[in-house]
Amino acid sequence: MADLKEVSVGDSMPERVVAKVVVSDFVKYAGAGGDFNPIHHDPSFAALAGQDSVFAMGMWQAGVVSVAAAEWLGPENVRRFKCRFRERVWPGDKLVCSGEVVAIREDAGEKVADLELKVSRGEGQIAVEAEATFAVS
Amino acid sequence: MASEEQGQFGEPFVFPVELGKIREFAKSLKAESSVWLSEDAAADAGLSGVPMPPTFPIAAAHWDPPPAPGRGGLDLDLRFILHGEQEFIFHGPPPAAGAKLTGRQRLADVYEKEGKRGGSMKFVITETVFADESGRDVITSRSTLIQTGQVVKKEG
Repeated sequence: MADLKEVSVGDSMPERVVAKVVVSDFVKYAGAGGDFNPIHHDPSFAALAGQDSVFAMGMWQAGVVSVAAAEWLGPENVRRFKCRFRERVWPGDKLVCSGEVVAIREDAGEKVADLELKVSRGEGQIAVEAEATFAVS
Repeated sequence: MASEEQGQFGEPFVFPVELGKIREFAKSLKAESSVWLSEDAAADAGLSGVPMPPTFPIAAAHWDPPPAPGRGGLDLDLRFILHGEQEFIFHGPPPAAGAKLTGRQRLADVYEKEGKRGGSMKFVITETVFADESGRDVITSRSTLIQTGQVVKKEG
């Protein structure tokens, strides 16, 4: 975890890499979080829906980058996390989660850091863009 | 479309923040720290309990909470639903394992737009507000679902 007193604009979150996404990742996440939409685990359903294979729940890859950020700045310090889904994540993808502090400010009497985060897949296409705010006082 | 019901909160539902679910959830998200896994590790890190991962409140959405009033009238087709955005606002440190939260959902907004790939798109913004046992609001979760007019094929 970072030394919160030292956190400043431009600091980079330690990268977190998922070397190869596998269908089991989606199944574990489904069991943990309850998203049993078959498009994420049943190939025949995915085919019926016009997809080439099952693909990840967007909240899985968003969750991976959120946990990386929480482990960097402290899980008790998160005040906001917002994610936008850009490209879907497919089995076999390599993911890279990264992030940077873009502002330090006061909010409701707390010193907070705003982060811009992203999850890249494949050749660097953006799968998820996210913003987060952490208390750093 | 704006119905009479849109914007009103639905029936409250209980969302227990369970240690076992937090452990599974964190592990499935490639967590590396042990603070998500045991009360001892959390205590060693100076925490009063095992914290929830930032996206954990989404789990409440999958346990069939009472729907937001007006949701049934939207005529959504699950084959063509995309999750566009998701936001979680914590009004203080996130609740830890053992907390018993009460959630209520409302349709915050519904609108339509012409899409580039998928024909006409309907945006449905649902808000879930969670209160702790003292009745204080602790989390606001906001989800944007997009219904496309047709199957959206693989982007890449």
